Amino acid sequence: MTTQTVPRADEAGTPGRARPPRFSRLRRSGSGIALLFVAPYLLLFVVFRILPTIAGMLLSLAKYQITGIVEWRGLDNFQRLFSDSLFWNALRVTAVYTVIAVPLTLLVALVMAQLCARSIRGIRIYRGLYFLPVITSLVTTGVIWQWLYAEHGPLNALFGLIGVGPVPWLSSGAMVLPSLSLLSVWTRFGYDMLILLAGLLAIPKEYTEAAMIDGASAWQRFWRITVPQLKPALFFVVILELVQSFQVFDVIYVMTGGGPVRSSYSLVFFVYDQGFHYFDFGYASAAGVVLFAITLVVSLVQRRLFRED
Amino acid sequence: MRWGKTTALVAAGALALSALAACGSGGDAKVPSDPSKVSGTVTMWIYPINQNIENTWWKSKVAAFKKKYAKVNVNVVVQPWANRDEQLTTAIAGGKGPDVVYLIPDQVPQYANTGALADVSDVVAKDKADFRPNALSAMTYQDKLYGVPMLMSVTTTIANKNLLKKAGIAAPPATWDEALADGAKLKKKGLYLTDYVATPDATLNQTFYPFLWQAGGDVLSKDGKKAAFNSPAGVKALTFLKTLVDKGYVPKDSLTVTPKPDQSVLCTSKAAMGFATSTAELSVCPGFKATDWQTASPLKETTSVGYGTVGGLSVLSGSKNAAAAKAWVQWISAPAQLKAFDVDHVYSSPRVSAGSLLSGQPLMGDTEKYLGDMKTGVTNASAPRQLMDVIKPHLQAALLGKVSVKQALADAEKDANQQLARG
Repeated sequence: MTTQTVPRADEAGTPGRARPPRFSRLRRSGSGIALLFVAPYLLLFVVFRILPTIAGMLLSLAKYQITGIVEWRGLDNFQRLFSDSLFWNALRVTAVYTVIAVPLTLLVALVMAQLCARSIRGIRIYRGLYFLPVITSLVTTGVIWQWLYAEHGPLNALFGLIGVGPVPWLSSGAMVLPSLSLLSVWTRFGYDMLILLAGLLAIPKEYTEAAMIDGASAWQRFWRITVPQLKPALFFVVILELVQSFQVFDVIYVMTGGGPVRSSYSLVFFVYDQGFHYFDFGYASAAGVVLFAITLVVSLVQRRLFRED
Repeated sequence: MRWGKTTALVAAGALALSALAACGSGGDAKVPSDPSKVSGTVTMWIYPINQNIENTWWKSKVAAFKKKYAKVNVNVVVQPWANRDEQLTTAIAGGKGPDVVYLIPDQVPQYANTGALADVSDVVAKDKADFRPNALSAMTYQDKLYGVPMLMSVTTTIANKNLLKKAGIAAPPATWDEALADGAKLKKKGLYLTDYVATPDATLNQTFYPFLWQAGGDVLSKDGKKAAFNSPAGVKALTFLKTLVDKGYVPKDSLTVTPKPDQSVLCTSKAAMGFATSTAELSVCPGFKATDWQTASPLKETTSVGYGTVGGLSVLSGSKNAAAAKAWVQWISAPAQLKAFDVDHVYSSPRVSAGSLLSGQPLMGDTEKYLGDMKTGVTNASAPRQLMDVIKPHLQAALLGKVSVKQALADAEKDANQQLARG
């Protein structure tokens, strides 16, 4: 049997011409320089993100003691996890928080981005101000909002003026997640707003002008032109917010400690407790792996939805 | 995609795996009989027990120790209180843990259970009888001593004299009934009787447990294998606390939000007394004057008992210089050094021979007489803090009126027993 080698497209027309060495090609195309710049971050990313993640996945299959004793347990940690009511409660709390916080944050960010896209006097100052909560420490934010939400705090004093309250912002199981979600909106919308604003400003004005000439209403222009054009930015922001919400911990740790009666006890709080509070690192890693899997699946579904649409 | 917080734990896992090689077995070493034959560097992690002196106090002591143990260097590292378990756990897992560390009773079983601590019975073997039994039992787990007690303090009833006077109360209450009667008088003046923090981060050692003990109950069975708080005494204790809440004798905010130490109702003169309070807690109050306060015995229902804190030095089992570490702990806990430590840090001594060290101190001097009767928390469970964490939400639910007292205790008992069964 004989075989015939089919020349590759780039080789077919230039018989006998030697291909330049790979390094030269990289240098010529500039990719080598780019790789050089990317390499340090890539190295750090592998060392501090990828390897620990793999180690965590391995650890989820073991019982580990801080003195270094490792006993492989197979899927025992996962079996225990799925029969642990505390885990399911944490999952429920995280899901509810996500369902409230993500759409609310997106809505506020989108509205603010629309407002900030207008050419009004001092708009840059407004944009800067709205971004301030993003760069404020979450712990500091938590302490301030704890004061705002106190039974005799400023918010209840305001509500008192119109004869409402006192509202049990953090002390009621029904109110605590909406209250924490409000805080999330305040801390997150500035960042999302900037991304959406960049997307909005990149939409060619001709589109909206043409739509206006055709008699499209403001809502039609927003829904038929702005939203489709904004889709890549929206996708990024939605994914970012979902991941952030699934990983909510700092503000809960500072403000409620997971209470009252575990009604704000999130999945990352569960992971933290199991690991650093109870030294059950294998079990904590199993919960971390489940959280990672959920986030991954939700992100992939989201990606597909945006693409199909 | 950002995995930050989730992988923080996973990162600890990576460190943990790398610790396999770092794990040593130095904890088997005994206290050396000949100082000239022991050498090495001992690293001790201590915390700001008295923040005014901690960074400087140890220098002269280390120098004095060096005169006896010429070949041993002691490196004292003052660590912050915040996140101390995270720091210690990560350090041990990474093979970078100290040789000696300051621990409190809640931490001892948890670290001992993972094999991280060395038995230090030999360190106190010569003068064990000089240590108060409750101080030793606080640092003991499964019949092994895992820490040498360095200090003790008392939590008891401490009352604001000005507020008592304002409400026409002659003296702090001695019993639960008297406390309820005082609560009514204080409420009429717009004041709270006390504070009760029911948040997840509040320790039960200074909240529910003292009332349980006062009612004649206990947290666990004697062997530490079963929950014992769901008892008539437990019901009585939780009902009493619920009464304080329902009658408005404690602020409702504290059931769900932990007040800042210097903004508590005690500090801001909105509550007249604390029932499981240490004088150190009051010292953070702005403008604190000891003369404004008076102490009393722990409350009594069937017995008068309170929570007493103990702190001690533990030697880590992974220490590569365990003999030197034990020599250091033995030397610093000897009567003369320990007395200096307690006097300078303003704590009571766990050594009986030290006598009363705080007699000249206002408030603290008055409470020292209760030292021998103090309970030091749950010392017969493998994970006392985890146990608290499964109990606390149920107690909080009862105090918030979401479930009945009996239901809360039954639910807590079920969760606690599951926790104990896991070990």
